[in-house]
Amino acid sequence: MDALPDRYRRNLGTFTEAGQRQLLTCRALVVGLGGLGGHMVEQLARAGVGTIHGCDPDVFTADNLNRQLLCTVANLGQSKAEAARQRLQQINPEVKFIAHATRFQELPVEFFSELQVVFDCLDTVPGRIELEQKCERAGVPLVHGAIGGWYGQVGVAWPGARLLERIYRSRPAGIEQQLGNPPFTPAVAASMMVAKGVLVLLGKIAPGESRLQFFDLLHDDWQNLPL
Amino acid sequence: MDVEVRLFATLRRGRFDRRPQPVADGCRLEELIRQLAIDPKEIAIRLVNGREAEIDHVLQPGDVVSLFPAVGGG
Repeated sequence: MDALPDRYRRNLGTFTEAGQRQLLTCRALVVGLGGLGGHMVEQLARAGVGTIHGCDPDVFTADNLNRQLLCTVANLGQSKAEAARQRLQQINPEVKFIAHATRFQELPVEFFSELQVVFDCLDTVPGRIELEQKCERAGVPLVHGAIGGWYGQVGVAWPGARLLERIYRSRPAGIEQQLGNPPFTPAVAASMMVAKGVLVLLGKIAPGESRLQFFDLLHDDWQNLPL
Repeated sequence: MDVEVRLFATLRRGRFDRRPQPVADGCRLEELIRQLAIDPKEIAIRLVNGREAEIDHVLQPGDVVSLFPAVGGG
């Protein structure tokens, strides 16, 4: 068996060598490449998740500069999916990144069925519900993250849990409408999502074990919600 | 009777973090929410004693009610 590339050496101890090799064979999809998704693809690539699909139809605008890791002055107007591809090429060309500069609704269910985990990094509630439904049809677990101001939530929804449907019901949006999205909250939520995604990929969160955490960075309050 | 109310994030604004709240016997969760002057549409997650609860859940003395707003940004 070939030695693991040096780039993964400092992952070991956190992951076993077998776990690292397993991640290199995994396929993940990140839906939304903004505040959450930018941090997400960066960390997944550094973790060595072997195939990463990134999906976002949007281009960068100046109001993304406060928090979106992949957004720079130089790439304003550029496709977020293309920016993610370029960034991942710079930090880990050994992982395969496939850019989808499109809405996730246009990706077929059969494509979803080939994945081992999907990350919900969207910024609209109706889109999140639709993504959960699509993951359920495809039988793939969804790692959810959402933020607003100092607050955020991160969860794992296995097919059948209908976690997002239960949280949001028919609500069109959340408190982010009033509170905005600062630089640090998406980074916290995205890191928690990556950790949960890795746990799913390594089989350390059992199928069916859905969960949700709520965090409040203003009052340093972290809650596990038994949903 | 008293229940304990715990509010999270923006639901605390102009209210409180946690406190005992006197309610009538047989009080339902929706009546408590009205008593706290919270628009039910502001609440995404409702827990009673750490378990998800419906809006018509009948409260018992000493119940711990936790209310969370919806967070949807990315």
